[in-house]
Amino acid sequence: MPKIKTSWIVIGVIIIIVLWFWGGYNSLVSKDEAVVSQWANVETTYQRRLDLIPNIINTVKGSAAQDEKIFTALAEARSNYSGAQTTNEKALAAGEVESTISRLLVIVENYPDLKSQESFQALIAELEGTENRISVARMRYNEVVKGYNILIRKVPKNILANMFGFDRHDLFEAAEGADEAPVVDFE
Amino acid sequence: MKKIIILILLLMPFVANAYTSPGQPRGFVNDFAGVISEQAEYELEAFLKDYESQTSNEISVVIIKELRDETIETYAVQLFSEWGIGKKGQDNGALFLVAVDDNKMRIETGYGLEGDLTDIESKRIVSTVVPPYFRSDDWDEGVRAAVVGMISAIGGEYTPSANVARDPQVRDASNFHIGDYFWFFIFIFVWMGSVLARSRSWWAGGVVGLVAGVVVGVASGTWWWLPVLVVGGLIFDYLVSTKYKETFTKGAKSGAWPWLLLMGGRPGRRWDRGGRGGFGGFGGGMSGGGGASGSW
Repeated sequence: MPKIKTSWIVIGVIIIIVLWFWGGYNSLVSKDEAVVSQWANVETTYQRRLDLIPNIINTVKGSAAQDEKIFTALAEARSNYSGAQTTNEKALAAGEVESTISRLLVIVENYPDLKSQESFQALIAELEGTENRISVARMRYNEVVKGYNILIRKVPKNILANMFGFDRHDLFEAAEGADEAPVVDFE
Repeated sequence: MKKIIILILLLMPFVANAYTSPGQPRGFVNDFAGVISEQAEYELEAFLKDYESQTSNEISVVIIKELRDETIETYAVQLFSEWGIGKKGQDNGALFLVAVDDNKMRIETGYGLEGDLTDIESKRIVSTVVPPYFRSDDWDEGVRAAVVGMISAIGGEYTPSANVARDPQVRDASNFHIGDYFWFFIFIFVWMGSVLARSRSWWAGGVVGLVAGVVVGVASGTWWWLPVLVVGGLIFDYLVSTKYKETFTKGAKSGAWPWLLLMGGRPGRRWDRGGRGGFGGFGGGMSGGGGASGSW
């Protein structure tokens, strides 16, 4: 009689452990996938900004033709982003695009007649909206990553995370944040 | 001491930048700063309600006094997702947010309306249409002009969606009150207690907990309940087995009540949120930072 009881307990414990592994692993997978899909959202907003670049060049070039260098830099930054493969490369290239656009916007300050053009106003509205979408996407990405990073470090999921190789995801750092979005000066 | 100061300094930005919710929505028009007239508020509310019932698009006007340390962009996107303006899945909501003391306003557009209410159109509204009114403190007309501008950009067509079919279910789910099932739970609880107490085994409660945990796990996809329920079941069985005799044989029924404390751990998410008055709340739409900001 006692033998039966012990074997039942052992079976029960095994079932519990298996179910815990199962559920824990699955929850890690879905959190990990949530990070990946949120990163895809960030990339969508980056792409939106890249798609604006020809528009920027067309609108600005006519009035600011003598500042040739900035347009080459912009085109270069754009192709750098297209060539980027890893997440880190992409984030870096996107930062380059961002700083080039803000440099261009500083240059544009010298052309008051350009700033009053309707097409330029529209472009700025478009660019502002895009920058804001980027900052929202990044903010949400950081939130998802934070949740995931906490999950994989906390007991008991850290055991599973170590076993199955769930690594930390990187957060966007503050320097890259939306606070320095270049378009704010153009209110 | 130094460490504490550093810690406080580190925490300060978070405290300062934390978005503070203005509260629950009272309708489509929410004037938390009290600047627009009752008449205008009533008319706009009726208008937007009507617009919603015809097109399913949810447009909300929110007027707050100040942003504190938040930017209007962040405030708008946080408020939008907190309230869930627009229908779920359709994201056909739009928010016109005004921060009176900061002289700032923003149109935040839900994903589903970004194609019609473009950033350019939003920018036109907040930078050229509304500011003249706000500069002369004509809040009624300014808000009205913004709403008219937004609606004429979006258009009057119905946004086709599954929300007609889905809405009743959504409403039903959110109307689930623990109160409706309270006595049922108590009954199950007491009944299980008596069965477990009479059984001579100490592990039956664990098995019951295991079964309950598997059911909950399959139903909700969250498995952390499982060990909690198993351990809880074991403790429960132990408690009732030892307490059963003195509780029930001596007829001291009040002894049963402390067990109810064990129920305290259940997730009480929105079961306590009951009647919200006439306004049924927004549909759960999302925005992603689309729209435009302006000042006056």
